Amino acid sequence: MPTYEELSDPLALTIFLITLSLPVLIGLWAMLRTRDQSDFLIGGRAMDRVVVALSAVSSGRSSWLVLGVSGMAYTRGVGAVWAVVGYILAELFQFIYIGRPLRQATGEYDNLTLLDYFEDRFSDRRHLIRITGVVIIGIFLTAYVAAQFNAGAKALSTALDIPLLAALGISGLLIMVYMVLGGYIAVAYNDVVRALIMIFGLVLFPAWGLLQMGGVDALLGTLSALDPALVDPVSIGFGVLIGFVGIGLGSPGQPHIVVRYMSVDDPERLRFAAVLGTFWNVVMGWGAVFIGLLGRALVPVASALPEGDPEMVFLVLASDYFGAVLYGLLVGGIFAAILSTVDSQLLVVASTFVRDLYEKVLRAHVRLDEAQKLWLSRVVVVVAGVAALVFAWLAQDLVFWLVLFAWGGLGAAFGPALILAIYWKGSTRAGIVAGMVTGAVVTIVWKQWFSDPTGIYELVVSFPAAVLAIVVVSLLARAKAEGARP
Amino acid sequence: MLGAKLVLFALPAAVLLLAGLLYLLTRRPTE
Repeated sequence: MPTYEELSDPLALTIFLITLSLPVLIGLWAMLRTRDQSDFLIGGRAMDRVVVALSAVSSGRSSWLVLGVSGMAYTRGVGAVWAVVGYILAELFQFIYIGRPLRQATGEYDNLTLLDYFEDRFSDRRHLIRITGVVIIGIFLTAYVAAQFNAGAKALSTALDIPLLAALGISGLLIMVYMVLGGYIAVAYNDVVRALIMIFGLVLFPAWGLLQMGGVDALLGTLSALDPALVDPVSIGFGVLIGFVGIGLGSPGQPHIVVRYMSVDDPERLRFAAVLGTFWNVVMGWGAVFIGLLGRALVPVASALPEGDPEMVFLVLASDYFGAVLYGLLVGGIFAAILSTVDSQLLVVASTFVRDLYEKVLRAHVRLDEAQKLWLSRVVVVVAGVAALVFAWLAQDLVFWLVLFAWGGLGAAFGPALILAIYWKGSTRAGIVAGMVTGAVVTIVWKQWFSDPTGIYELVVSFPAAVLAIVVVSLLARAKAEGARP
Repeated sequence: MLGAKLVLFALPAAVLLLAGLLYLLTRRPTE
């Protein structure tokens, strides 16, 4: 029976540990460039387009890509490509059509967070949008961070054969050290390194596998002999296909991805970032699909995988068919994929509490100087990180329940609101608040009670519902305002 | 098999082509 090994080989362990220690060195370097809160939260709006492109695609892709998509391709065959097509196209368009105008406006308003932008765009002096956003980010994104911490700790615990609690502590400490040192700049440059590690694994791995199998025809022939549906791209059915493509609808509303666009030095450079980011997304996405297909051809029965879990196919192939060095790098790659999402999300959670809640609402009347704001941001990263770790350890069931709604909830709450705030002059503060609440609530309700019976993915429903809420409430608010005018 | 090859090779190529086209078409004229 194929198994995946612990990293007992000294060389594999060394390679893996290097991938772990590099982030702290990057954090130290980034600290030299971090002089104020703007540097700490959005890299002083001076980030290079290559860093923005790779950071955006690396933060957006978690273990879901490496483990989830390869597992999907293992189970469903080539139809799994539809799961990557949706978000890749969504991200391509949002780099240019959301990122560019958003960076333009946030530069003019001097905004550091997405909620800063909404507040200035709608002249929301009562902070209604900000407070609604803080609650939604506080719930969904904190659960997301906690769940990713758990996933990262599991990978680390397996790789090093250490208890889960110790792995959780090491992951948390590692992330917090470089985040406190270098904030956004450390996170973004670490994303670049991780994007390089991930693409290396996701290109080399399938290329080697195809060579071993004797080419694409041999691979598809083997799969077809196992089950003809595996080589039929539409065998997954129309409902699943729409759901797969619908995953992309969540992309424009992820605050940790959108903040990347706000950090670029020049909005025009997001066009180049779109091309580079799409290239990276395509290679990583299709690489993960090929890994799943190769895994199915080499280990045809899922019960032969550890715990019968198709998502283990990446680790099994890496362990069985690669030497120690590559295995160390590939396991490091999975851990890297997880960390690159966690740190980006944790920084947004911290910025939400320190900037959106504390500075702008609770202490709005107090003027803090830049040194105090920077110090406070660093403290809040530690507090938010420790809170997420405690949450991850003590409330695992709640975390796993909440994270089911996280991608869809954030996507439906912020995606339609952001798109309409940019492109519809008629949108109002009341409409945006209504859209955010509708998006979050409909996602939870649909996922909880209607998703399974109908087979319809929650975002396909909650995204249009949020658009409708924004349009209807905005029109009503405008009509009321005009009616009240003498 | 043809369908599988199309989604595995032609589809990613088409996505990259679209990215290139968007890059060219969204250039803002310099003032």
